[in-house]
Amino acid sequence: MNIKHVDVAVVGGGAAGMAAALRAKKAEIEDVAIFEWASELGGILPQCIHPGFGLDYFKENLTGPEFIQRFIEKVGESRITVMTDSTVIELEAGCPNKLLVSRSKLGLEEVRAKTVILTTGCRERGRFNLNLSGDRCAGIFTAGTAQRLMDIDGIMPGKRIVVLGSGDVGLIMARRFAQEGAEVTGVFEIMPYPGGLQRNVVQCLEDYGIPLYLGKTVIEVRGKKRVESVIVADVDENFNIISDTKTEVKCDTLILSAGLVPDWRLPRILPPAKGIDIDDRTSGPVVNDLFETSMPKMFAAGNFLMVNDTVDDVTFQGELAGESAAESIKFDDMRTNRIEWRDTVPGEGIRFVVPQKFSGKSDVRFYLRVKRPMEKVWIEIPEIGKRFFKKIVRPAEMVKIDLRAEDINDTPRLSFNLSVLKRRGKN
Amino acid sequence: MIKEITCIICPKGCKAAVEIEDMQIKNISGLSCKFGQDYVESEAIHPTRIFFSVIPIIGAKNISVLPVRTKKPIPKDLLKRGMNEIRGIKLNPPIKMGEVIIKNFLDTGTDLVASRDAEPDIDDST
Ligand SMILES: Cc1cc2nc3c(=O)[nH]c(=O)nc-3n(C[C@H](O)[C@H](O)[C@H](O)COP(=O)(O)OP(=O)(O)OC[C@H]3O[C@@H](n4cnc5c(N)ncnc54)[C@H](O)[C@@H]3O)c2cc1C
Ligand code: SF4
Repeated sequence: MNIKHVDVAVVGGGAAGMAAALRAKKAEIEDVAIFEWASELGGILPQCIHPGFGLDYFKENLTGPEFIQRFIEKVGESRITVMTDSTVIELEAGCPNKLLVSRSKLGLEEVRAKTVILTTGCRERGRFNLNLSGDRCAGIFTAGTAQRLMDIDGIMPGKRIVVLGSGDVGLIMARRFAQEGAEVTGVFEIMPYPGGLQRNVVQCLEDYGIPLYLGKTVIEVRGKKRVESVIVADVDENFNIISDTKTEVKCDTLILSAGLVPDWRLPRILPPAKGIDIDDRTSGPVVNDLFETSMPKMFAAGNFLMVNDTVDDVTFQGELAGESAAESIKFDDMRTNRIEWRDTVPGEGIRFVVPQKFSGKSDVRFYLRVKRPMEKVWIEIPEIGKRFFKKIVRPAEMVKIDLRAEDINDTPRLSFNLSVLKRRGKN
Repeated sequence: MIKEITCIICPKGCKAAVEIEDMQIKNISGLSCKFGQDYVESEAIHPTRIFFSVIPIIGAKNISVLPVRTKKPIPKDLLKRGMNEIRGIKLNPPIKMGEVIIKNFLDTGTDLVASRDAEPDIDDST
């Protein structure tokens, strides 16, 4: 078998992967290679044809394809090796790391890489993750699959649509179906609040008069060959179905938009003893503030690290991982091995904090998700006596907190806690 | 007439009630700050959106439809007409990102442009 040697191997050629590769190359690393399963670079973005991308990164309102083509062009101009139709099927950590790559027509190839950056994105939760009972008929799609069919392959998946879950992809697809003249009966969300960004609730549902039903879910699918209807019902505060609210809704298509999880299909193949530590809260790897995983010289960024709301954040994360990978090659283990990593702790009201570890030696941007929507709150970090006021926080919107090295230099840990603003005079 | 508009400038998403008479705003209530004011005023009288869709493209590499967008936002009530306007069009590669597909789209003064490159599909097995 052909063996190839590289300095940086980037697994996954989406926004995170390309940003990482470009940054490593900019730091004058010689051999940077991107391995991408699909036939073209871009990841999920070529199918996200709506505007709303790059507001932060480019200060422009771009569509997904426009945003990503800028990166594809830059990668084309730099001397980065791009291998499309190339799936990394096995990964063994070590010095060097070993990757087994399946290159469709060309067969298997082994790659030895000084550092690896994992940017394989996320996948959608499907019917079986949702415990959706009923008939096994055609006409059930995840939102991302429907999006690909419509906006890459030009195929209309159905005419009468029910959307289960109000994640951003689902909201965006509800609008696409309405634009194309399909009837969108409604978006059903089990939580008492929408899962997607506020601007998507407004521009995708309110603009098109599509109803959003909160505290309601789909419990059964009916249909012989194709979906004919779904049964929807209200839930109580413990998410138990309230039986006497069951109603049948006619439709030919059910779109699932009930959450994304980092795509571990690849690294799971690692021998378990050498596996990467996983954070149960993000379902992604545990990383330090260089975005290095528990395996030295193995980095992670983008939706594989944590499910992000915007591609701008994904891109910034990719750049940080690329820079860290370059540095770990240049200075060998100088930085990472001799550092005593300290923990971040998601406290009261906080679902997760990334990075999970920090050195105290550099400035860090912390990404947080809250557990439920709240108004007028403080995010308090008692260890360093700092707090940040937020007018409103929602699970759908990532909270970002920037802390400077001098503020976190001495503290053995950092915990992030939500507390409600108290009125003066009380307590 | 009272129009309900959700402000999308910040995550708070205030719900404004806008009182409109003869295309004039009489009163806005429900907003928490002045940033929302501007957005809600223009949204109440002449809301605009970027129009986007896909157009079939024949013989292109990797894609069967080409994503398109208007360069600038157009009046919201033209979005439906926009969908009719592009119906029936078929494109051929090569097309470059930013290339004008329809000039002065629906007389709005802005062009409908390609959102990405499309290259001809050359069958590499032959
Ligand atoms: C429908 C939708 C709408 C969105 N709307 C917006 C929006 O309006 N504004 C905004 O800012 N953001 C939006 N986002 C979010 C943003 O697009 C994503 O967060 C971002 O593109 C993710 O980039 P990524 O590189 O982490 O992952 P991806 O783009 O998913 O890239 C991962 C890549 O890895 C490849 N891969 C996976 N496993 C392997 C393997 N084993 N070997 C080789 N390759 C592999 C995949 O093929 C893929 O190309 C949206 C996302 C979706 C899905
Ligand atoms: S009015 Fe102000 S506080 Fe309310 S959503 Fe708009 S910008 Fe935010």
